[in-house]
Formats: sequence, structure tokens, C-alpha cells
Amino acid sequence: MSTKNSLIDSAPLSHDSRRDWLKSASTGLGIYALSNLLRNNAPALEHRSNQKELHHPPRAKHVIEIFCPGGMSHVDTWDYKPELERLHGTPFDSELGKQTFAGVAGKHAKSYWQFKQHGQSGRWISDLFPNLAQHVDDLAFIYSMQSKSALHGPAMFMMNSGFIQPGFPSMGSWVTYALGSESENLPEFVVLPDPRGLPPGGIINWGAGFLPAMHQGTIMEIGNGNEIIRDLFPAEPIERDAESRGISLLQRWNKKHAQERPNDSMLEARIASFELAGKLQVSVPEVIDLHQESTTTHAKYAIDDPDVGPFGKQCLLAR
Amino acid sequence: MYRNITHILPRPILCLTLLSVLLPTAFSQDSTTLPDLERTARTLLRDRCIECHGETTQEGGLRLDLHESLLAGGDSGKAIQLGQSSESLLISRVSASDDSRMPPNGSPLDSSQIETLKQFIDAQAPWTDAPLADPKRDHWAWQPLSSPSPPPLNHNLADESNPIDQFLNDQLAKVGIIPVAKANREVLIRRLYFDLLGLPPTPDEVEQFLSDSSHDAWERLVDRTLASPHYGERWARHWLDISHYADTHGFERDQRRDNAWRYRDWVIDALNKDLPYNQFIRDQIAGDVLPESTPESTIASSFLAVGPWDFVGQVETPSPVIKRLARADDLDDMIAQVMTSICGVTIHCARCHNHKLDPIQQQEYYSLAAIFSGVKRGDRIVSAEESSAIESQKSDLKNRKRSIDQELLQLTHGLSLADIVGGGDGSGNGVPGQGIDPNSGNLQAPNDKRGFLADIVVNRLNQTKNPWIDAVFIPDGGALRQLAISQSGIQALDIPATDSKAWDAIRNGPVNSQFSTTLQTIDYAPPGYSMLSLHANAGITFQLPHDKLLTANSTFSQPANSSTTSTEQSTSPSTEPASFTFTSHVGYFGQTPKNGADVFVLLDGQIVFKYLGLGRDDGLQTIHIDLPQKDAYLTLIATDEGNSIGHDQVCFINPSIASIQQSQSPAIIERIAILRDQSKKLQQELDKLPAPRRVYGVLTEPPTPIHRLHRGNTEDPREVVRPGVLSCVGPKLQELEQLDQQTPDAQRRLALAAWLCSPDNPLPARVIANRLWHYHFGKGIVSTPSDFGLGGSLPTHRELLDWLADQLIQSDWSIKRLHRVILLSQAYQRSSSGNENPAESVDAANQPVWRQNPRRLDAESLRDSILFVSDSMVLNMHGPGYRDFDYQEEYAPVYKHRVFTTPEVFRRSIYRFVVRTTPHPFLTSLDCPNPATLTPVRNTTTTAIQALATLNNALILQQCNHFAQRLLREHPDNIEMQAEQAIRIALSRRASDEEIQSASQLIREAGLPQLCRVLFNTNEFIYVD
Repeated sequence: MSTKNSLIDSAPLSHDSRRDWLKSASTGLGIYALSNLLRNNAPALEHRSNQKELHHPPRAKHVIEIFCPGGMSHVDTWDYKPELERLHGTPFDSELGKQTFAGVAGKHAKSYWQFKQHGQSGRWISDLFPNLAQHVDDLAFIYSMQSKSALHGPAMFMMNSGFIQPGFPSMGSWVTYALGSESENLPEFVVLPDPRGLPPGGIINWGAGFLPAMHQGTIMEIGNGNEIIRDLFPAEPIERDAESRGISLLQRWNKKHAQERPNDSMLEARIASFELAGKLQVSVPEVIDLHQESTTTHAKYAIDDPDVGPFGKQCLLAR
Repeated sequence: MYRNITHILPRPILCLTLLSVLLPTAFSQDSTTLPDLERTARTLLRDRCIECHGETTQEGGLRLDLHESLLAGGDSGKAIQLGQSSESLLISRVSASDDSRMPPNGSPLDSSQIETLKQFIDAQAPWTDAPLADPKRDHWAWQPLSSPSPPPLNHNLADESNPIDQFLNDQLAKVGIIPVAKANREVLIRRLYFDLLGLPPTPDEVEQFLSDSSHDAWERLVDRTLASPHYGERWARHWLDISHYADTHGFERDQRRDNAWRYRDWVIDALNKDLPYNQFIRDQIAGDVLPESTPESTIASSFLAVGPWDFVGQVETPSPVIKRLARADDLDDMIAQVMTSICGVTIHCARCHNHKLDPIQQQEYYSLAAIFSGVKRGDRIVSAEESSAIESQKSDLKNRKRSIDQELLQLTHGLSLADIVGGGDGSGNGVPGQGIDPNSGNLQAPNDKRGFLADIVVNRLNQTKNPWIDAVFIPDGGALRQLAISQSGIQALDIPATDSKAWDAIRNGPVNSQFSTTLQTIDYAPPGYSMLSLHANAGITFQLPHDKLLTANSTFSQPANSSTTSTEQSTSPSTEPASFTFTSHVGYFGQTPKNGADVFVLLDGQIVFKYLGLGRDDGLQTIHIDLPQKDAYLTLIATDEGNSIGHDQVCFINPSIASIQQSQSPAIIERIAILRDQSKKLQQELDKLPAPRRVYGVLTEPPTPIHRLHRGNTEDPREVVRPGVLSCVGPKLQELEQLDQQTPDAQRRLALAAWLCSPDNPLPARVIANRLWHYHFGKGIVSTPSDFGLGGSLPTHRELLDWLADQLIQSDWSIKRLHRVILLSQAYQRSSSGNENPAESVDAANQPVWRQNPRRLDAESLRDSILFVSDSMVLNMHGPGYRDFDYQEEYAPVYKHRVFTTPEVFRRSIYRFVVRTTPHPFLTSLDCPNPATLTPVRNTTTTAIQALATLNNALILQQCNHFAQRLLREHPDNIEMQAEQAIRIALSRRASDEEIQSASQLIREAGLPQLCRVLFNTNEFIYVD
């Protein structure tokens, strides 16, 4: 008996490493055709078929967003504010003070860390990041972003969707909606939440808003005992044999049903979705298995550190 | 040429002025005729200028659509100097290259356009026609309803029977498409049931329809189905999608709205009883302020409040800037909801600028904001009369009970410290649930529940009004483990340091969000017991003057209505100095099993009782302390045990001070029994009293002035705007014209309701008719049901839509009659399969409706069908929503969805308690929308994640077992019968032999639940033909 059996009889992965597998997953053939098939949402479909006509063809292959609500302040890291050093200890402008969340503002405070210029670009970085400082010429910094609200909830929505109200698609939703995904066997938009808790506003920070649900973030829970992806395997154990007999009858009936309705692509898409689901059952546990990474990598990401380990793990998985 | 001019200028006086100045310049330049010049120039003005300088808006006081105002100019003076283009401000502004350039948006005018304007001015601005109109105002949706007659019958299409078909067939004939045939009856009844009820027909219902040979079998089925109470449940879902209903606030502090459901029930009932649609609208906009307002119409007005609301921005933040922004968002939500749901207009685009597509000025947006500027959201009673009737009954019963309880308390408990905390004198006349804020000493009303207290000052001795209480305080022993505990200067030693936080109040009864009032199976909730709750960190010192205790004690020992006892008492020697005891039982009523809190009782600053690390598992601890025969200070302290506060609810049960000598004679014992019985009966009566109905809805307030906000920026207010509506559509009503800054909230909303419900406003009827079409055909006549503006789709059948809208109004706005006419059309009954029809290659999108559209069940219908088929469904209507999540009270409350086995959660999905920040994972995978969004059309996606959910989710597997149990119950011994019935029940049709055979085989090899799982996952189950 097994709960972790696959929906389909899938050949074991022949690739030696997780990296190889990921690489092949992102360069597989026929992927666009399948993702098109899975989209019966007209605008998205239309959009995809016009892919070649985009005036700005996408060059990025992956987007990783590390979002640290409650993280370090920008004025302590890479947003050098010499004016703060000058004003250190003087009272904060009372008019501005009115806008702070907690009421009366205190005094100006300069950063606790020293700033120095680095790289050819002369980017200012604080002593907090001695290693990162060596790579400033490869990084892009955006200093112009600001939130329309100082409140946690609205500010989270602002960061993730560009609006302070809930209900708008998140960044990942827009990216996958607009540019699609090349990955056949993994969800398009994956979220690795901090095991210690969700940001204010909860999981709708990665919601699809008014875009189709397929563009919402798929949550992968790592290392907290929960299922990696919700419902990846049956909630109660089902014997492997019973499972495969059931799935095979299901697909047989579904195919017959679709044959009688030959012009309905939604039906074909749903049949394909079960096949893809079976592939996910194989690929997802494979992808999150960090044992295949070398001990050097583990050390670099401080996987075993009690404090920063969970974050290192998230970073490694994201990569 | 000269004659030409006089001919086109009708006013003789103007002609004369023209004559005198015109000749030298106008005709020397080129050969353009004057009518041409006028047309070109005026088209230019119309297209590029009058959006801001027209009938509705006159930026800078300038209006360019009327000749007089063009000549008059604006705030900056004359716009044109007739005959002198080079001197004209208009020309210098359109030619400017800096910020002053006009028009400010879009590309600048090109040189030939500027040249045209110059010639126009030099030619004395010729002007013949009526004022210029904005072409956006000609858009079809703003035009009055036409009352089109259906096209004549097309005799080539024999089966047409209904005006809808006449409209459709007429267009089909034009494109040469022959519609497909009617679907078979098994398909039809399933389609009808899902459309109207959101549930599948039972095998019996299918059989009944199949065997009904009467000519009006379909018509009667439609009528029967429309009369089902499940109709309202199904269609309320659509309206709640459109109005983004949920049971929590949303945003960071996503608090519950426990009374929101009454609005959901109102929608269900309104649809079931076919409330005329105009009344349906009116009640939702102004039901609470109607002259003939009822509790039901008041509940209806909660429509304005069902959207998200930011508690932190509205209430918690001290920043006025953030509050203004939150309120602006609040109003925006109301405006957008009302205008998109009822009018199909995307008004909120005009929040920051004039609408880019529709003829809606920014100022009109703020006029609508001014309509709602007296509307706030909150919990309210639905009827003042109902509430006061119940309240007076209640207070009568309570008064009777209180006097009994008071006597009872005197006979049994002595001086009650819980009662004192509740504002009483210890005899039982305090208010249950009332408390004292330990940070201020202020009274805290029973319903004034607080979370973490703000602005805490530890170890400050706060006085109260109650003479028995010396002080309350928030203890923090600090490093020295010492603090003052009484105004008299008494110091306490050995009190630990704390995290300096405090929660709610010291209460006569449980504190806010108390985990439980039960400890080791006994419920100590008053009445029956008194409870003094002290959430760590808090302390209270009672001052107990000995002579006062004596007086109190002698009163307590005098049972009323008992002269015998009284005599006995009076004869008993009372000269002996009385001594008193403090007795109580203390327990930890929070969730933590061990090491929750530290508890201290001090007498005159000396610790006389302590329990360190008290937890739930420790149960109740007995306290028995003899008081000295002198004035004394008794102090109760709860601290956080060094692990910060969290559910540290410490309760003293029956804390009382009684005389040791107090005896209990048989007469008293008998009296106690009688009183207890009376008290119990009164309590039962009280329990039977309904609570006044409350709903999360609209609170009406005096409106505040609304300013136009430049670029939507709340910190950049411009002119004050008068309440009003859109100018591009609908009637000009007197009640709207009369609105001004002084108009109260009620009149503002009543005027809006009148405008929306007027038969001369074409949008509401068109929009709802289209919504019905959308839900019956899977696609609206306008495929953007909440956007009828220039950005939306054009109607595929404009005349049909107007005919439907007109029918609605003609039939007294009856929604059910409109359903009926659609459902009885041949178009509705057509097969959904385009199979073998040549039209499939011509028009696969089915634009002219030559077949029905197959549809996937929405998330709720799928869940409901699974529960219904499995015979698990509890079909009870109405009431608070079922909660299929674990709830945890926190600053930001936590909702964790999981699968429950209790039947309470097996209700229809419309009764789900909807949490905004935490979407339901299973339903979301099936495109159940986020209730932050106004959802006119559900998305339908097909994903692997969704396939995993329908295969593996615990709810599905649970229901597979239920379905299997049902089949086993009905056909215990026959596998073939189980297989046949499974298919019949799930798919609402008879099974083929081949299917029975395969299904039976699966039952034998994998078990019956596996067959159920397969059926729930078939496309046939999840799609409707």
C-alpha cells in the first residue's frame, strides 16, 4: 500500500540531478501547445497566439522575487541617505509625522552601518552586505518605489499587486499571464512561504485577482510537515492498484465523452490536466529533494543553521 | 461668397458686425469654403477640447461647445479675438510647448490643425449648428430603450415559437446559419436544474419529466423549477459575486462580520419571492432610509456595505492622512459596486481623471461619492421598534431576576468581589460582563470588548469610582520584583517582571475572547457562579474597612420576605466582634495546559496565596483567607509567567467575603431553594427571548463635504462637489437637481434610487436582462456584463436586448417572468453540440446563438452536487454561515480551512462563511473568485492543480465514502445495481450496458468509493451540455 503513488505510469526520471531535470523541464518541446490547450480563457489564448507579435519579446527565463516584509530597512542597506547623517538627532518634520502609522514620530536617526561606494558604478552599499557589495555592477537597484499607504495590509498589496486594495493580480500572476511559462511539469508561479507565517493580508498577496485562477501562486510548503502542494496525493491512502484502475476508467470515459463532442476543446484540456497532474506527482517531490545538492551547496546556503536555515532553503529551492 | 456668409449666419445682428470686419482678412488666405472651415474647426473643438470645456465641465470657466461662451472666453479672459488669430489666447495655448499647452493630454495639435483654428478665428468663428455634442455620448448604451417588435416569423425555421427566436433566427438567416436541433430531455432537465437551482435533478425527477407526454411538459417543468426555494440560493450566488459579498472585513485585521449573513438571506428571499427588480435595487440603495422602511429593506441596504473595509486604516491608525485615504477607498468601493452592478459602468476610472473611454467627468465621480458621503459601514440593529420591544421585555425579566439573584447571593455568597468589579456594591446589583480597564480605572461596558491595551503605563495605581476598590494597575515587578499596590502606599515584594502588556479588562464574567469558561468539565459561566476574570497582566486592590464589612454583612444576613429569620437574626448576639474570610477558587481558563500565568493574592501587601505557572491542567485552586479584624487591603494579581501574555485568562470563581459566623437555618435553606427555582425559570424565559436582529450594514450619518481630488490624491482636494449622478445617461430628475451640500444622507440616496429605478434610465433594465442571458447561455448579449461603456463589448443582438429589457419593465420588473421567456425559447433548448453542423466551421464562437453553450459547473455547484449526490447535503435554508475552518483570535485573526465531518458544514455553498484574506483552497482551484473583486463573469480554467484537487482533496474522498454508503444502503447486495444507480444519480441519465459492466468491474477490483471518485471526476459530471 502506498499513498505516494502516481496517477499515471510514468517512467522514472532518467536525469541524474535535480538541476538536469529542471533544465529539461524548462526547455521541453511542445510545451506551448499544451499550455495553450489548457487555456480556454479567450483573452489569454488570443494573447498566446499573438506571442510572436509582441513588440518586446521576453528575454528573462525566470523571475525570483524575495519579499521580506519586516526585513531590514533600505536606509540601512543600499539606499544611502547622507542627509540623515546631517539631521541625526534632530526632530522629525511634524507634518510628515502625521502620516506615520504609530502616531508621533521620533527623531531622525542615521544608519547604524557605514556606507561605502562599490564597483565601477560606485553604488553605495552599507557594511551589512560585504559580499553583495562586490557584485553591485551586476545588480539593478530601484529607488523610486514607494507605497501609497503606511499600513501593513494595504502596503503588502501595493508591493505585490501595485494597488493598496485587495483583489488585483499579483506580480507573478501578471508575469505568467503575459509571458506564459515554459515549464510543463511544474506550476507556472510557485510561492515558497516563510514557514514562520504569512505576510499581512495572507495568501491573497499571491492571488490572481480577476485573472484566471491558473495564474495564482501555487503554494509549496517546505519543511513544516504539511503537504508540499495541497492535494498532491490522496488525503487518505488509496491502494496503488485501485488508483490506477480508477484513473484508467476515468480517462476512458472522459475520452469517449469528448469524442461525442468533438469541437469542445475544454474537454480535451481537462483530460490533459489529469496527465499533467500525474507528472506533478513525480516531479514535485523530485524538485524539492535537496539531498541531491552537494554539501558545499548546503553549507553555502546555511541549510542547517537553526536561524537562517529555512530562508537558505527557500533561496536554494527558488534557484 | 459674401452671400454665403449671410446665408449661414441666422442672426442679423451678428451679420452686421461680421460685415464690418470680415472682408479684409478672411478670404485672402485660401479657397476653403466657410461651411467646410466651420465643420473642420468645430470637429476639432469637439474631439479635442470639449471633454474639459463642454457642457458638463468647464475647466478654467471656459466652454467651447456654444458660440456665446466661445466668444465670451473663460477665467483667463477672451479665448479668441475675432479676426485676430495671432492675438488669440486659444492659439497661443494650443501652440505652446511648455506645461500650458492645450490639450494637456494626448498628442499636441499638428500644424494643419492649428492652421484650421487660426483660419476659423480669422473668419470670425462661423457658427451655424446647434451646440457641439461629444460623440461618446452617442454610444448605444446611453440611448433610451427602444421598444423593438420582433422580426416576422421565418417560415423556414419551423420550430420558432417565441419572440426571442424571431430575433435570433432573423440574424441567423442573414448569415445563412441553420440552428441545431433541440437537445434531448435528459440534457434539458439537467441543464435547467443546474441553471436555476445549481443542483442536479434526482433520478425520479428525470423519469417524471421523460414520461410526461403532455405538450406543455417543458413549460410546467420550468415553472416548477422556478418556484423551488433552491432557485434563490442559486441566483443569490450570482448577485453576491457581482457585489463581492464576504463575511469578514478583509485587509490585515480580517475580522469577522458575524451578522453579514442576513443580507445574503435577504437576497435569497428577494429572488425567491420575485421582488420586482426596481424594488430590489431601491431597497439595496436606500432601504434603511425609505419613508416606508421595513426591517427587510434595512437589511437590503447592507448591499452598500458588503465589500472590503480596512479596520486599521479606518479606526486603528492615529494618522489623519491614512484615515482620509482609507475613507476615500471605502467610498470608491461603494461607488464602483453600485455603478458596475446596476448600471454596468466602470465609474472608478474617473477617480483620478476624466474617464478615458466613457463620457464621464472626474467631477461626476465625486458627485456620486457625495451621494454616499453620509454612509458608513458597521453592525446595526435592523429595527429600532423590534429592538426596543425585546429590550423592554428583557429588562423587565432581568429586573425580576436580579432582585431574586441579589437575595440569593446575599444568602449564599456574602460580599461578591466579582459583582464589585461589575460596578455593584457586592450584593449582586453589578452589571454582568462589565469590567474595569486596568490601565485607566475606567468602566468597561460589557459589549466594549478590547484586545491588547494601548498606551500602557505599568505600576500606575488607577482609581475607580467604586468605594470598595482602592486601585487597579498593570503590574511589572521589574528587576527589583517590587511595586506599589495601594493608594495607601503599601508595597508588594516578590512580584515578577512582566512583558508590560495587558488585554481587555478586569471583568465581572469572562474577558474578551476568553478561551473557555469551562474547567475540568464544569462550566463556571454566570449565572449560578460569579466569576472575576483577570487577564494577565493585571492587578486589583480592594479596600475593606472593617465597619463597612460589618454593615454589609448584616444586610446580607437579612433575607427579604422572611420575618421569622429576621427575628432570629435580631435576637442573635451580635456584639461579638465579627471576623471575615475571603474565599474563592482560582483557575487558568486560557488554552495553555501548563505554565500559563502566575497568580498572587495579597493581604495588606503580604502574599497570602500564590500559584506560579498556573495552567489549564492544574484545575481550580482553593483560596481561603481569614481577614484581620481591622481595615484591610486585599489584592489580586495575575502576571504572565515570564512567557509573555497570550490567552492568560485567570478567573476567580465566587470570590466573596463572608462572616464566619453566618449561619444557615432550615428556613434560609428552604428560601434558597425557592429562589433558585424562580431564578432558573426567569433565566429560561430570558434565554427564549430572541436577540434583536443585527446586520452588518449601513450606518447613516450627516454627510461631509466631498471635494474633487486632483489626480485622486486625498491630500490635494479641489472644489467641493454637489451630489449627483452621470450626465450621459438616464433622466434628469428634480430630486437630483435639488441636491446640495445641506441635503441629508436619506434624500441623497433616495434620489439616486429614483434615478436608477426610473423606466427612463435604460441601463439597469438592460444590464440585468443581459446578466440573465449571460447565466442562461454562458455568454451575454453584451459579453462584458459589468461594462456597457465604450470599453465594453457591443451587443451581438441589440434589439433583442432592448426587447428583453422592455419586457422586464412591462412585466412589473419581474425577474422570474424574464427567466421564463428565455427558458421557453427554442434557443435555450437547443443542443450544445455543434457536431456536424456546418456552422461550426463558420462560427465556432456561436456569436449568433445557433446552439447552446456547454458549461463547466462553477466551484459551488460542483461542491453542492457532490454533497447532494452523496446524500450528505443538509438542505436547511438561511442563518449564519457554516464555518469549515479553524478560527484563532489574533491581532490578525487566523482562519485555517480543513475538512470537517459534522453535518453542519454539509450545507449548500451559498451558506459558506466567506473569509476574505483566506480563500477556500478547494473552491479557489475551481475558479471561485476572490471576494475583493466584483465578479460579473466567472473564469473557467483547467489546471493540473485543479485535477489534483478534484481527485485527492479530503472533501472529495470523504464524499466518495458517503456516496458509496448511500449506494450500499439502497442496493446492499447487487453490484450491478450499485453501478447502474451510481451513474444514474451522478449523471442524471440511464447507464449503458457497457458502462454498467465497466463500473461493476471497478467496484469488484477497487471498491465502490473508487467508482464514486471516478464519477465525480468525469467530464460529464463537471460539464453541463
